[in-house]
Amino acid sequence: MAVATCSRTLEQEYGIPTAPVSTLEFAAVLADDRRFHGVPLRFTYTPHPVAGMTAAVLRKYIEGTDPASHRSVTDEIIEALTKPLGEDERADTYVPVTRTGVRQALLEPDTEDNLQRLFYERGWTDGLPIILPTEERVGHMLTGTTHAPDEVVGEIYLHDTREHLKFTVEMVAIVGVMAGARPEHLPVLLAVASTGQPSIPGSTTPFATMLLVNGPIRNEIEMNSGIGAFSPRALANSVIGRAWTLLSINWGYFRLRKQFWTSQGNPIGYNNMCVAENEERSPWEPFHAQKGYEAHESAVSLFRGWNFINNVVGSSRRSIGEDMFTQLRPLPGLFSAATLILDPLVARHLKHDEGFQTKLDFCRWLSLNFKMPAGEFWDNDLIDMLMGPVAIQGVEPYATWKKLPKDALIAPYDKPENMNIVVVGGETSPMWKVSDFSHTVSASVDKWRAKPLADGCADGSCGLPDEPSNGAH
Amino acid sequence: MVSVLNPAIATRFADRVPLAPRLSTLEGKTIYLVDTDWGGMQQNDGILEEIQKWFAQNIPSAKIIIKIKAGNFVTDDPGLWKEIAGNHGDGVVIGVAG
Repeated sequence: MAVATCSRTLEQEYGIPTAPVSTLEFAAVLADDRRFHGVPLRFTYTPHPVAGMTAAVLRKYIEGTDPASHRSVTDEIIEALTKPLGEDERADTYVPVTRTGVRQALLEPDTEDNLQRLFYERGWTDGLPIILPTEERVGHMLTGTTHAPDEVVGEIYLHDTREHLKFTVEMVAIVGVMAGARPEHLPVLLAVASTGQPSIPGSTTPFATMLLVNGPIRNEIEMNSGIGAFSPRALANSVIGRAWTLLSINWGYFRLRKQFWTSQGNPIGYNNMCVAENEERSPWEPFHAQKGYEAHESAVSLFRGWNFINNVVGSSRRSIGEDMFTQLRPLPGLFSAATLILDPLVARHLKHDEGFQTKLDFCRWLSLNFKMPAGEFWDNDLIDMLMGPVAIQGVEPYATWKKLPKDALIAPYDKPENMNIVVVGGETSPMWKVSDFSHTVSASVDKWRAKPLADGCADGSCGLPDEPSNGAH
Repeated sequence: MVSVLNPAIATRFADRVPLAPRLSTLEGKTIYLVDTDWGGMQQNDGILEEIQKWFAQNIPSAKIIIKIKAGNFVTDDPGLWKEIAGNHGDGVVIGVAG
């Protein structure tokens, strides 16, 4: 899409004819690009991929044929620049088209099995069975908020189709029902939806996301922030996380080769690491308080990245910080993005035994003390792709790092404020996770709430069903 | 029989606009080959270099200039577009993703 976007800018804003070139892999989305943008860009395709190919292979591509049209690649490039505009391409004959989608509120009545199949076949689910959103169920879900069903929660813009998409409280409630959520979960879903952020961004890379809940609502809706908080165990964590993916699906982010590009995917997408922070057992201020909310407020925070590395022993003779160096090293450190998930045992040790009074104190220590060779840093493909251009533009310290000898040591996490710490865990062992996730946005839950629910969850392990005391199963 | 609500969301399409006028020939024209920097700094512009070689052999009167778009593959580069327009760039071959 980047090629199409640049091409459109040159055509429309500068009046310069273009010959955009892409690989065959993107032909389908570019066909839609022509359909939805109305600019019938004259694309030429080469075989896929071009990334990593030798000069000899690339020469064959250029001297060969377009695998979509079976015509000479160079002939097509020349024609793209010189062939007179056709009837549907000229300004004097062109008729702009604006269409408004009409949504049928109720589907045709059918059996439950047929409707389950219909939802799946229309691409409205994650492949798992859903709770069918009957009017009664959706009506019950809407009792979770005082906001009107037709109130607009947010709007997103789909780049591939140039569609403006508004979604209402009722639409979020429908998806909440489908995910298995309860009315008390709805304010969290509305807060997530209000950000307009998809759980799986359109990318060929295995993007993943994390959904963190802070504040009193965590315990009121029985979210688990304690033992096994990331495991598929607590209802609230499971269904809220799943609902974010179902929202994203129904926003259009899972349309194959249009918005959904991830080559291998990421299993995190099933529930997006939906978790609450264990504020009761953390020695530091909760995450949302670092982002401008009062501790007594409730908020969601969204994160995005690719990789999580688990510490699985926690008993080396090194300090915890030094141990983390081994996990930070293979991660890209993209503009200092890192999110550390610490068990409360680890967090309290860092504060009480090592003297880090705040989360930021520990991030500053990591920033100053973790070092790696400049060559290793730049050899990371993601760094090369996204930070190399910034270095070339002269932005410091990256411009200086780019000029260093390969074995010169740099401290790649130069912005400790971009590093995040979240305290999660059940204190069965001093564990932690290190990731390249960055915090993208936080949003108020309280804005969407109907009423406070009952409180009480001393160790963070809310909502976990346990074995019955009489031994029955 | 069960009656259920539709989870699909209505959308509104944006307006459309036409293409720029085309060139009558590439002979003697200034053609920019712009790399969108899709694959990163270490693997960019290889395919554009091959296109440049093809032009040198087949349309030698065309002036070919290779440029790498600033920023990464998803960022805009209005400075480059102005440079191309200001330097009387007649056409642009732009790519490549994948």
